[in-house]
Amino acid sequence: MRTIYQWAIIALTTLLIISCNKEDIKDKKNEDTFENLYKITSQDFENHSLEIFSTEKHLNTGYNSLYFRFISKEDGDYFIPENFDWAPVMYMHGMSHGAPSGENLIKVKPYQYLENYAIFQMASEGEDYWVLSLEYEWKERNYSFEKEITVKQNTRQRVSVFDGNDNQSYILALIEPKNPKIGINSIKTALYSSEDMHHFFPVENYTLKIDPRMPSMGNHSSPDNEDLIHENNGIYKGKINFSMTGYWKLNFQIINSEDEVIKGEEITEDNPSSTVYLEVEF
Amino acid sequence: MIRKYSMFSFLLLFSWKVNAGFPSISISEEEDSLMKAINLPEVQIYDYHNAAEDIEKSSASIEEYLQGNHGIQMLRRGAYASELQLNNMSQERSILTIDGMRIYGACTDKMDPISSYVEVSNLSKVQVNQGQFSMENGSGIGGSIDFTLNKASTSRDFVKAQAMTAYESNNAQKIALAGLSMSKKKWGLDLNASFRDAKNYKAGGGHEVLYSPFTKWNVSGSIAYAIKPKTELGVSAIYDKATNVGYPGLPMDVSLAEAKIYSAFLKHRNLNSWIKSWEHKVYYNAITHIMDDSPRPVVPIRMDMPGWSNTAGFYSQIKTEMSEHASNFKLSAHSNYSYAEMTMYPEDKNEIAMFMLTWPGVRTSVLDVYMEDAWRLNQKFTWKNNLGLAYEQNSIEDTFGLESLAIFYPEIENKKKQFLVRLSSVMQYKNRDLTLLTSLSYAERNPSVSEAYGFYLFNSFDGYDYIGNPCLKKEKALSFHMHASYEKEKLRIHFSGNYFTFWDYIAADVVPAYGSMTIGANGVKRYNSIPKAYLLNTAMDVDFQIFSFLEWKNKASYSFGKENNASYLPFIQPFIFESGLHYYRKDFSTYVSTLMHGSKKNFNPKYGEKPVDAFMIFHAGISYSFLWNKHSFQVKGGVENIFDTYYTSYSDWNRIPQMGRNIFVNILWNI
Repeated sequence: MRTIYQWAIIALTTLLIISCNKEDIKDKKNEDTFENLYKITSQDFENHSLEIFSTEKHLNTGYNSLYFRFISKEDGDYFIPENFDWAPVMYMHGMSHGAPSGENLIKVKPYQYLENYAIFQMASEGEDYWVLSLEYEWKERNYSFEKEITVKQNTRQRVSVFDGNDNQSYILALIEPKNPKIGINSIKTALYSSEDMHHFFPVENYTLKIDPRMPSMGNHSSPDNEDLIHENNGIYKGKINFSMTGYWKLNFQIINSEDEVIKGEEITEDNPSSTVYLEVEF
Repeated sequence: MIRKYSMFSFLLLFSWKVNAGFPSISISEEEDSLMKAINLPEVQIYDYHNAAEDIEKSSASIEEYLQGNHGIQMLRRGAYASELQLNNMSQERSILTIDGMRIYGACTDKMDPISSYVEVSNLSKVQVNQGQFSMENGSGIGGSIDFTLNKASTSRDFVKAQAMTAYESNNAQKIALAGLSMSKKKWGLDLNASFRDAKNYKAGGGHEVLYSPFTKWNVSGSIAYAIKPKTELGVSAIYDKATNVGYPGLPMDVSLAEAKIYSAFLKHRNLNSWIKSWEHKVYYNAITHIMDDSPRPVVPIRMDMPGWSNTAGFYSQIKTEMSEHASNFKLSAHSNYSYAEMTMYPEDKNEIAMFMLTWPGVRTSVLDVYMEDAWRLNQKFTWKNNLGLAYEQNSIEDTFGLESLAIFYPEIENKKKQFLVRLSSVMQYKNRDLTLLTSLSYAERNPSVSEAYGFYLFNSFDGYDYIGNPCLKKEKALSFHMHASYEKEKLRIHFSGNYFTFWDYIAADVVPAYGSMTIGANGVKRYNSIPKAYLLNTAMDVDFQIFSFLEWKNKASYSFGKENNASYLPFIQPFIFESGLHYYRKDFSTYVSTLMHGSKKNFNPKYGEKPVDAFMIFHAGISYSFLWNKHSFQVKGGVENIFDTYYTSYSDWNRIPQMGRNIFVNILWNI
């Protein structure tokens, strides 16, 4: 009797330890990838659930990274569905428009998830609201639903919407620097043009001339900035130097591949600001 | 013997005993030694105990005291803390020390030369070395000034107390000084305190110069203890605090300039027949300097610009005498940390304040070896040689600061090493009335913190933001000095001249590609090396002793400087002439004097210079000493700028006018 009892205790303890370990490992994985991310929203189904994360506590106007994580309820594993498609849509006064987003990137480490981004041109306010509409296929079943999200107004302008003199509508958003510092910063922006309210295309092979200024201090600039050039898929990269902390206005001139200025003005004594600008404060 | 060499000393090093009613308490034990005669200038100190000669005003600041000397110029940004210049060179080119201690100012705008952190009551003398004759305290090109402190001394038996009160009418300046010194067989004590408070001064014609007041406190103390009859241990401390200091020449004032200066020494005297003295000293000083624009009602943007500088160091110095040689060996090291920042407050209160480092936390560490030897060849010739070697390391310790400078210098390294050499050879001939002296010197200097690492330092004189250059080469100069003097009973004529040739002269050039940071600035300048520059300084004194009680003293000087043989160097003195009639009686003396500056035509617009008109001003003063109830009193009075002339000189920052008529009264009391 006694031996069986002892054996039972040992078996139970072992089981507990193993399960605990499993839990621990899972948590650790969880921390590894998503430790600095915030859950924006989630959706539950009977056999799986979907969670959407971002780098900020709230979604803000401008460029937002988004992380989609699907968890199977049967085995607790993460999976990537088939034919995943999604779009942010804003409804206002009975009309709607979309927002530029990138290609879905499949990540496999430490487990599977999808990464993308959305550039929100404006914030949710009153009757005007944003939804994410999603559709995908998993285990031979189609899922399609809409999920309301809240987009807050950034205190500083991280996205600029303008019409170029080529009769195109453009959206310019700041991706980096996320945490600007004194000295040399690399700058990354996304430039999209829109055909209609719902379709956006990355603009390629333009040049974005940059002139950072401090309007509160005589509108002075900083030395040795490098204009942004196209990297891929509408993402532009350059160099920006901040000589001090505070509020910086990044003035842009958008120049197309034929070297014509599409939008934005040079900064002179009489013209302190370009019509295309983004803002940074640190 | 002493008489023979006294002239030599006089020509090499000018020195004052700063009086202010505080005669030197520490009398050197080496008084009669060969060393003293050759190296140290005390022999030529005015004896201020003799009231007949003591006619200068006692309430003068250190800068005012030194102003009368050839070779010293004052760059004036207000009524306080003028920047001392030696041989028409900016302060980075000279070595200024307090009792052999290295101190670095904490202001990025040179508003706190180290002379501003001491008070005349702290000092027993000021040693001015106009070239490379005695560069024991470090590598400089223009020369060196050492402010020697009043220190407690042992082995004597006295108690002295002194006090002075003074008033100056022009800026309602109230001055009070008090001191106490005691010496016993085993120990000694020296304490003093001073206070100055001035309102705005008025230029000629009664024009008030706004933002020119100041208040200064200074206390200092030292204790000495004789461990053995010939071995003394001592500590000394100075606390100096200036508040509400106006700088009318600059866009900002100073709310606090504070110095804490500590030292401890151990000194052996006459260790044996040839080691005359062996002194060790350790020291530490901390400077806080806070620029502030709150007194100004209208500014483009509100800002604070505090700076800090801490220096720790030591030296060990041996003075020896053997047959016809008097030598001096000094090993010294110091380490300074300079850090300055700038915070700008936007009008829009929703915006974050702007912040940057103007000095990126720079550590300067120096190890220095110096040796000199004066060799008396015969009765007429003395040959003096010296050699100094310094190893200097600069490093940027603040990451934020390093990243800021990386904007201009992406490849910047945070460490830089430099080896500096200085050497000099002097030959003196002395006959009965005639003294001739020539010398050839070579010296190098490292760029200052601002020159190497300054970040957008606004120079309000030329209106440019200055960027330091960490890649600067060291500046080098070869200099030739000559002196000639002829002294007869009733006539003394002195002539001196020096000529410097610089290589890699550090100056700033406009960088058109960079936009200025300061609101309203003209652009950005960056320090660079100018391949070659030249500087000539000449001075002449002619004194007549008309009667035993009447003396007519005259001084004239002229300087000239060019860079690359093309444009003029900045802040070079024009022709200057001074003349004074001095009348002495036993306890009464009086003087009238005049100062004249020729017009400045050899200006350089590149540095913001403009022509300056000639001017002439007159001064007069009297001094009377008397005994009252066994106490010795001295009353002095005088008028400076008698005719209330409105004038400005080549060295007045942004051409702020100098002080108009000023009437002063000093009352000194000695126990």
